[in-house]
Amino acid sequence: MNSRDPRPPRDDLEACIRQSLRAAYGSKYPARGVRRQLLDRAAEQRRDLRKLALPISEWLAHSRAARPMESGWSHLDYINLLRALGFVGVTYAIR
Amino acid sequence: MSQDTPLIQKLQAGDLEALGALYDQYRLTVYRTALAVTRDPEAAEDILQDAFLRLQAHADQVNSELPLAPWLYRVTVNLSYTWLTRRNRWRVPLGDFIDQLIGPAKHNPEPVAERRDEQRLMQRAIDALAFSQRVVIVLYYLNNLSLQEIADILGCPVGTVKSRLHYGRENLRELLNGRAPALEVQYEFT
Repeated sequence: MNSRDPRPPRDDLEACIRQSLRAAYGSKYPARGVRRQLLDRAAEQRRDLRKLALPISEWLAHSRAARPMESGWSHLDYINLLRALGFVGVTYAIR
Repeated sequence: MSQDTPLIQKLQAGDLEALGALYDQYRLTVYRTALAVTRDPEAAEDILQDAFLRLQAHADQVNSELPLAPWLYRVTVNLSYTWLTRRNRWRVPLGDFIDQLIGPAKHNPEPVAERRDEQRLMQRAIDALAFSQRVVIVLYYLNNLSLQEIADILGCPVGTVKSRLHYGRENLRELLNGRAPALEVQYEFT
């Protein structure tokens, strides 16, 4: 999306804006540890979601109307949670 | 189908390595945009992480057939706005700022140093812009996005982007001349 050549500046102001932004940010990098931290947090987020989603077998054992929900959750919220966890096939089956 | 499709589909199936690969691909885009808007390296790193955590949490809602960049830009802008709103850091006292700009300039015969001074002043002027104008300036001049792409990211008409870009430039011109910036006209082009 940002791979095209820069447009030619229409005036000095445009050239100055572009040069200033590039000089300030064009060579900035996030710290190396951010990737590891992100993946750790992502794994933790998945674990938290899985805790919420359990016990799925018990949930599926109920009829749709009687399925237990987290407080404030709708049936669709639960479906979306299962999909976020990768249970795509299952969620289509239980709709 | 976009080049991101296979990785998004893997992520939707719960593959964390796909998240890492998408991070590798887009980290600079997200980080530099967040940094240019917030001017805070720690905040930019937090926004970088949060953007990809949101991608994981909402992967099922992302259209895997479309490029991921616009989605990431939108989340980055929203997270930056939230951060700025909470910290209230974008409100540079305008009087102080103008005093600094029109104060006695240090004479420096070195062309490189002059250019750095110009860039520093321009950067301060960009910081003083309203959030809506600053975001458009950053997306257009730093990320080199088209008006239509920016409109899609911000969810507004192209005319609004044009208007913000125009008034952003005019305000920068005014600020650099040591005058108070003009207010953005409230009507929108269509």
